Amino acid sequence: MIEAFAVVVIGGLGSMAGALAGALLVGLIRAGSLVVYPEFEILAIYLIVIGVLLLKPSGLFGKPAA
Amino acid sequence: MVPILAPPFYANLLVPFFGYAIALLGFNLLFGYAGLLSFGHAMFLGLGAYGAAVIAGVLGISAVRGRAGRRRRWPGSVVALPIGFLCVRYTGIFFGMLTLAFGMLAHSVLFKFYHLTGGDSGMRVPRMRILGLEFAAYNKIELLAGPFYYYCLALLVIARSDHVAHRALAVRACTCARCATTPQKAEYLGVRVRQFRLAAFAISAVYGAIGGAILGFRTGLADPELVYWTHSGHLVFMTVLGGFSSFLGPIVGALALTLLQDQLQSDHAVLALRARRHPANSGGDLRFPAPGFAGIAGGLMGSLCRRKREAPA
Repeated sequence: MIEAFAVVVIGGLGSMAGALAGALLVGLIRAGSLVVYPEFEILAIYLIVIGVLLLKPSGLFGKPAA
Repeated sequence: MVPILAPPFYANLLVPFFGYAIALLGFNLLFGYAGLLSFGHAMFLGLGAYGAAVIAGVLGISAVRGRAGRRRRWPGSVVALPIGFLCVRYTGIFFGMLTLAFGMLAHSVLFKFYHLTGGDSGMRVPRMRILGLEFAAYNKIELLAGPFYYYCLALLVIARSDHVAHRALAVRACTCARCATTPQKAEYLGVRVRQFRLAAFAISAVYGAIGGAILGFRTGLADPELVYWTHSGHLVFMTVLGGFSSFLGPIVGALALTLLQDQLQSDHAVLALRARRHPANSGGDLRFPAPGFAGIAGGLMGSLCRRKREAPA
């Protein structure tokens, strides 16, 4: 559940395409970090969430908040 | 009074209540007065517990002046300042999401880096000397439920609430209450809203760390579950249950939830035992469970309905 939350935040709240992109990103990053450095599996996701929230709070595909 | 009158079980049960009470004092400053709902506050509880484990277990400093020695605050505030600096730029749901993400970040670090933090088995919090007294001879329950430790905790809670009341209610919270309702108005009046939010965040983090240290000391273990987001939700429940924005509300909430949790757990254990004893009968038993909290709530609802029915007549 908490991971779905991360997906939606990365993609942008209220954006379908964003949810798709976020899910793809999260899935790939989890799998990739397992190969490269397993300790980073979950860490990497939340780093991205924080990065997205700080740089573009509306998410990658969301409409910018008024 | 409690350690003398109550049986050790209940005295021991109330130890986490003290920890939560201190943590919630700070949390309420952030949530009730500054209007920022943090979903990652368990991070600071975890930091306090792990801080206690590192200081006492790894560094071998075993003398603690007062229950929560000065040093244990530092992990809380040192981490809180940069995170708070990033987070307080946002309010509402974005603040919640950011703190949640930071909390989960902390959780994943504690959970995954086995060589540093012990992973999901956590870190041991050894027994410390309190005010220069040695307690190695006591068994754990005796120590925790004994009068000495108890009064130390009670004194600490009172001192802390006094501290929060003086420092925060008098100076900061008045202005913070204004940020919560109308930040623009506060800013217009010359209040530096962001600084006040940051201050509230840092102070609440410090209190979270002290509370976490008490929790960790009670179980003798600092584990990543302390940092998981459900535990943050736990804190929010306690605050809402007791009533935020009133000063003593969160403490009442902490007490209520601690007792309620224990009550429900014992009820479930009884149900489980009964079900095991009469496997064929368990359905019948479950239909008439012991009058626990659900029964009380049902009784209250029934009397309310009756009163409503009587009212129009």
